[in-house]
Amino acid sequence: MCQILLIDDMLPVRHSIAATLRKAGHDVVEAEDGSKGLELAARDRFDLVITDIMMPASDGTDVVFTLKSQVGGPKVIAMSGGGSGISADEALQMSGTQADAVLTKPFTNEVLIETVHSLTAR
Amino acid sequence: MKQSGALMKSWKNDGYDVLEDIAGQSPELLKSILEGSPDTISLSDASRPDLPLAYVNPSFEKTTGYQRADVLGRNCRFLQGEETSSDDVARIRRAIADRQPVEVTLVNYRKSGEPFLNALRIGPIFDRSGQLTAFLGIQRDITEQRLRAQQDNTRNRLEALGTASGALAHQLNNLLHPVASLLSLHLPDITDANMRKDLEIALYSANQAAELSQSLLGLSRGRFEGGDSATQLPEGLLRIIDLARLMVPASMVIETSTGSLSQHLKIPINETLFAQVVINLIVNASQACEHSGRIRIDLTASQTQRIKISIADDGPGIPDADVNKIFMPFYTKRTSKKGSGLGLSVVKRIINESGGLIQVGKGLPQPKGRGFGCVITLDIPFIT
Ligand SMILES: Cc1cc2nc3c(=O)[nH]c(=O)nc-3n(C[C@H](O)[C@H](O)[C@H](O)COP(=O)(O)O)c2cc1C
Ligand SMILES: Nc1ncnc2c1ncn2[C@@H]1O[C@H](COP(=O)(O)OP(=O)(O)OP(=O)(O)O)[C@@H](O)[C@H]1O
Ligand SMILES: [Mg+2]
Repeated sequence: MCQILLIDDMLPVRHSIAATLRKAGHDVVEAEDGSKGLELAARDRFDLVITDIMMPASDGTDVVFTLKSQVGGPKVIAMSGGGSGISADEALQMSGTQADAVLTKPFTNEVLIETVHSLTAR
Repeated sequence: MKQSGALMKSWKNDGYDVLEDIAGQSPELLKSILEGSPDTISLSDASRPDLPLAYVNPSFEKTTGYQRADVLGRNCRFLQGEETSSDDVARIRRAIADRQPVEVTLVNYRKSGEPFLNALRIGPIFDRSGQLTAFLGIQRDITEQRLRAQQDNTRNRLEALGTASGALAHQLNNLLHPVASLLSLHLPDITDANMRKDLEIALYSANQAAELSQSLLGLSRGRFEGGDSATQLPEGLLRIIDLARLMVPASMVIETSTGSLSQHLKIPINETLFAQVVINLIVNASQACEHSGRIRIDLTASQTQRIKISIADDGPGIPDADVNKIFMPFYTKRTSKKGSGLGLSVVKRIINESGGLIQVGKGLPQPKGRGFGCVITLDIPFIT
């Protein structure tokens, strides 16, 4: 069981990812943009932060860089499906260098759980 | 020096003074102007029946392929032919009868039989007493321009389509993710077997839709946005065929075989241009089959650093007598204003620029008839 912070601007997408994680036994806190996510991350301790990269309000890349610049910070998964004219790989290029793992949307529930497990199992 | 001084002086009066001066003082200059004009100039004698040509300049000879001696004394309509629109000719006829200037763009033919698009302007010439003496015709060959415009137009449409389908695919992906994810999350907990089956069908459909959306995404991703001057095979071709499928009715069955291609290859044609080629050929085949038939696309590498792509259909085929005409600009069997007849000219131009060749042959057996459809084979060098 892990404490997971999930950041995604699209409510249905966030909801389905959170439901999948909760069913797998994790505790999930949701945030709808990068700055709210960072606020939550500063206040509470999380084992893992999963953040979307391309979000209108504040970009997920900031989240990845901020969290990974802290010593002893949480593990971070960057996820993206890309955007108009930008492929998922391109969107994940920057944060991919810092994040502990990347998820290319669309991904299956199995891939999500597997990725989370590989980062949090000790 | 003296001559040009005289010209400058009378320039302030009116055009006739200039011309009279030129004609009077330096007929040689007037002649040089006409003879040296980069525009095609033709003059018909209005005092004689049926407006015979009285003068044509060297540009006219160059554009039409006819020598002066061939044409003087004849009415200029000998440039017209099969694909010339009779509406356009009627407009000229009316303007001439009304002694009005007219601008018409119409298909004409060179002496060799090669068609060209003629941007023609004709104007009546009156003398000082107001007497109609001649008609002046200025012709311009705009074939090349029209072909390029057609090519650019298709490219812009493809690029817009790529951008739009990319944006659409992202939205769809975001909407489909929760559907598939939540269904597969809760399916294992459903105990009612019938309900499970229903939800499995829903999940299957969501996954299919996601796959379709992924292939839309393949179309965008900047692939149709210029840049790269090569197309990867077979991937590029398969992507283009996916796109072409969306452009022809579902009643056209398109089969693809790239089986004998063992490696991945590149051909020296930008993917947008190559898409124009393949889409033009597939759309032609679909039109020939009257939108219900079979198209078979085969990709094979030959030993000699070349690749062959054949697009075969089971439509009516092309009569032997027409095989040489179909690549000429403006040749079309599609009636009304629907076909520009430029499709295959653009195809030929793009393929030839890459050092490729095009062949026409007998295609798939017709479903009912005894004959064969058409096959167009592209033979293109690949990059190593
Ligand atoms: C000076 C002059 C130049 C002409 N040049 C062309 C031409 O380049 N191409 C063409 O198709 N018709 C040209 N025409 C039009 C034809 O000669 C003719 O007037 C037209 O076909 C309409 O007449 P018709 O219906 O009797 O043929 C020209 C006419 C004149 C008077
Ligand atoms: N697969 C085919 N089977 C039979 N006839 C064909 C086939 N492809 C082309 N043709 C013939 O060649 C002509 C010229 O084709 P082209 O693509 O150049 O012009 P178009 O299709 O008539 O017009 P556009 O491409 O501008 O819509 C067609 O009108 C048709 O008569
Ligand atoms: Mg065509």
